[in-house]
Amino acid sequence: MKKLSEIMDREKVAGYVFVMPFIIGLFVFTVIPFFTSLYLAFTDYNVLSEPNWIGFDNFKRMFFEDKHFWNSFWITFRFALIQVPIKLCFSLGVALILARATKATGVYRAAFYIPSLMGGSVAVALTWKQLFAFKGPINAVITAFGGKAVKFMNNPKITLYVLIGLGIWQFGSSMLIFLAAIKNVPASYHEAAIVDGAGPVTRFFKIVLPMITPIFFFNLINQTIGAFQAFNSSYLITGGGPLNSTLYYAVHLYNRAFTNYEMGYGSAMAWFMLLVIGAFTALIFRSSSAWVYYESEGK
Amino acid sequence: MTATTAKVKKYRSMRRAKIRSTIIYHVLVTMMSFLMLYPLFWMVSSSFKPNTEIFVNVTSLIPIDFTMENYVTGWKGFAELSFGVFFKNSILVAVIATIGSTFSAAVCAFGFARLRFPGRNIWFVAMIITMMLPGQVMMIPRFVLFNEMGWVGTFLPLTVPAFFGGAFDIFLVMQFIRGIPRDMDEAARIDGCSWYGIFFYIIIPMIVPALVTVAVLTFIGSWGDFMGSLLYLNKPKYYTSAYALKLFADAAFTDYGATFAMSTLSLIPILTIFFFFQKNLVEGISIQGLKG
Amino acid sequence: MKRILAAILSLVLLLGCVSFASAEETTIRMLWWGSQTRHDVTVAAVNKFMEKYPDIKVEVEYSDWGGYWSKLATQVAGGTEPDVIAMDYAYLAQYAGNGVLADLTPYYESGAIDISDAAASMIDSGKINDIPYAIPTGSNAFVWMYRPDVVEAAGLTMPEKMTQEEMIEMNKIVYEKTGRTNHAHTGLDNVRNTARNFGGNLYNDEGTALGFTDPQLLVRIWENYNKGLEEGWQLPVGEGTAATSFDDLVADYWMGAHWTNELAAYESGNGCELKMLPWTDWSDAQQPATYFKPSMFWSITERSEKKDAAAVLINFFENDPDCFDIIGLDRAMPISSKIRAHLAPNLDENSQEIAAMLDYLALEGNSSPIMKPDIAAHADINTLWGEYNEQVQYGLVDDLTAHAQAFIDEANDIITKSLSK
Repeated sequence: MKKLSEIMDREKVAGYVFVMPFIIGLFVFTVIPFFTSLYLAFTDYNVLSEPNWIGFDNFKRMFFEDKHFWNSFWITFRFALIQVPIKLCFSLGVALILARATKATGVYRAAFYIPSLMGGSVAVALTWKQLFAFKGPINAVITAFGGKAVKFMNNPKITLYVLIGLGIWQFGSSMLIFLAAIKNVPASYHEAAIVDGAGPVTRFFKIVLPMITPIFFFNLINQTIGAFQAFNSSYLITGGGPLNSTLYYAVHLYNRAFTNYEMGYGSAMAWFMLLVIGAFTALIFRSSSAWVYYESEGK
Repeated sequence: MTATTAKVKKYRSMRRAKIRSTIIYHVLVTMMSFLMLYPLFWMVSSSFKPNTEIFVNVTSLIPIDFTMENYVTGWKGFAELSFGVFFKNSILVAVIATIGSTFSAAVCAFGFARLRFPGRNIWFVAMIITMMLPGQVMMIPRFVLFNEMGWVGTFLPLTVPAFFGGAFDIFLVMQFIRGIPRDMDEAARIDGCSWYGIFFYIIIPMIVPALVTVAVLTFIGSWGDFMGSLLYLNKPKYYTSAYALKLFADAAFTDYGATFAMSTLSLIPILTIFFFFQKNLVEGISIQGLKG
Repeated sequence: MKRILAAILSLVLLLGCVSFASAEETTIRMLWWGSQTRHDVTVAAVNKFMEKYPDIKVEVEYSDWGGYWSKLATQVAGGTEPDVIAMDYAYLAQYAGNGVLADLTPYYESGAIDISDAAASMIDSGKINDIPYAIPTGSNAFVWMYRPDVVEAAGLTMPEKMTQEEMIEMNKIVYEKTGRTNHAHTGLDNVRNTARNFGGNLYNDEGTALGFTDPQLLVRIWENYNKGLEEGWQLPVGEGTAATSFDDLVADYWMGAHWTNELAAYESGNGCELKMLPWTDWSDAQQPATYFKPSMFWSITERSEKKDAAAVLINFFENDPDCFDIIGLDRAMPISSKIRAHLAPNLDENSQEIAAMLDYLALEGNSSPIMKPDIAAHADINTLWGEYNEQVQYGLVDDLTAHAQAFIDEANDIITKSLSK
């Protein structure tokens, strides 16, 4: 028996024991569907009957014939580029505000988290639409100050920003993750810094920020992937309009795959997206050694 | 003006400044909270308006014609299955999924973050890649798979995968563990503690805030997931509340009143969970204090 | 690790308790979409069915409209589709074309599904290439619903029916007298109806192209829209107050085009009294555009192993008075004349109005024959029209004729491509 426990405690063995659930899950639940969808990308699969192999036809159609493909790709690209930085800064800022321990903080945290709890529900979609409606509250404020009412939901140049606003407004989960990270910074570090006469701003830049870079890194990856896969706000609020100016890549993909049952084409689109997201993620990972600080690795 | 009065004055003005900044803090945060909460207030107030009023009296948060009717109709549910049934199913599914994913995320993250074993990087990259494929195209192959396994029509597809570690959760917990200095586990290793001991007695207590975060996010995610329930559950008595909320909508007509009423009710469990866990989030720091 | 595995295993056992039906009775599965009322009454009717046919057990599944087509398609992909499913006109060709639906001919011939009291045109509407794959649950017509109080406030009276041009004129008068706006209908339904007015259709009978070639048909629809903008009664795009089509009728408009079975929903949804007016044909129309459209269908799936029991259930939902005592007009006006007669004395006010409207439209000269079900590429054409139409509404188009011709060309191109696949 002793021998077994010794073998089990070898680092190589213990490593596999710990990550075993993930490996099993990967093989049982993910590998098969994952590669099935890769196979389907080269077929004309329409869900209702068996797929036929058509080679690169889906990709040809995607790059050269589908007039919405590049359009939706650039929209999503722009969306991610604008939303991710703003959302990260905003949620970090709010997390800092809420890290302060007062009796009311629990209530505040809940208040700031609720928009994310409500997620992609009909209620959020409808209130957001109402807020920015031509005769809605925001335009009421604008006209009260002598401005001209804006067609927020019907101006191809503006509507995307309304949806970006919604995405930023639902910053709850990244805020929560930042909050946990800030809370994880040992109080003794702060105390030592205060003794040395460091103000809150110095403490943020010298202690908190370096300590939470691993989590900043996580949120950056998470939000980037999330932004490229954004779906709900466009699907529920604008349906991709006006004039296709908010047709996200994922919405276009969904319309193809499920409204038109062109699952083969949808799979091809998904795999192209995987490559794009993969490239971005790899870039972020590459850069991380320069700015992410791991206490455990002393760098 | 003597030196003492100047000191007293300075002390008083500092205290006043502190009080002032506290007041400004609370006023600002309360105002922001209200902005954040506006859609919630709108939904709750709409749930007390008759259907004919919801979109007519749209800007006022106070119903003209206050009614509980939406709650009565909504709770009635569908064909003798009240919303209570759907809530019970949701709670069962969400609790099991939460336990599963929190536990498996902790275990796998420890393996990836602390132990060196051959192939570690390959598995890690595989994990990151699985986060990148848009879920829509996995739906049908996954359904076929679960169907082959005979799981369709049960809660298994909604709960069992959680026990095998979600990529996002593992990655998140990993980042927390990598932020913890190694000195304690090295000391414990020298004292003859096994890797399993280190995991349970050293690492787990230190990552409580991270685990709480994973738990809260999983619970909320599972609670709001209607796609899984739409695809995998067949018998109405197994439907979860997120899916049941959609059943008020037909092509032409949606009972918004009942939808909002039941949406309001379905926020109660997640808010409870949030408040409950938030206490642990704070307790997490006191254990954390041991470390320094 | 062992403990985890054991825990998972017991979970599997705990959650995996699938109930097994006893061997003597036939169990069939049934799936439909709808909202609360429909789920309530349909389940009640199914319970009645099981009381009458104790050897058939029916397991029901239901969904909302939006999720239905994902759920059904996924089940087909997994080979687990139910025995009896609800079908829609827009998807019928696609599902039948891919061999998902069973041929109902044997059940019509044996009388297992009794069609002797239904109009042949209704039964034909469920046919693809002359094979019946679906049977309508009831029929509808596309009509205008208007607010009589607004018409009255403008000092007008609504005639029994009127032309498109007369309606445009009326929009102008109502706007001048009451300040209330309206909308020139530019949806695909109007394209279809305009084409029908001039002997065409949205698609040709073979389903190989659009059913019209003259771009002027589209131009006149858009010209009405632009005229409305000039005269002020057409609200520019983006200036509406409404969030849903229910409150359109409360906030901005006084008329909306909908299917007859939606009357009660629109009345209760916006809290205003509504009256119905037949669809407005163009004054130079060659034939009326109105047709009776099956509201939805029942189908048996091809892979079902219990088709006979499924047919019994469908017959119950088409011909059994006990069923209709429970479900009423929930799935529109029943196609069986016997059932209609059975229901007539007990109809509520709304249903009576609908019945009267459908009877009026059935008179010679008020309607024309139904077209074939929409082609498989219909969803694409719908999106395409939305894009072309939006460009006009945003004032981005100078040459309407060229724009209309471009739509026709692109639509035909999409249809040709979809057929070659």
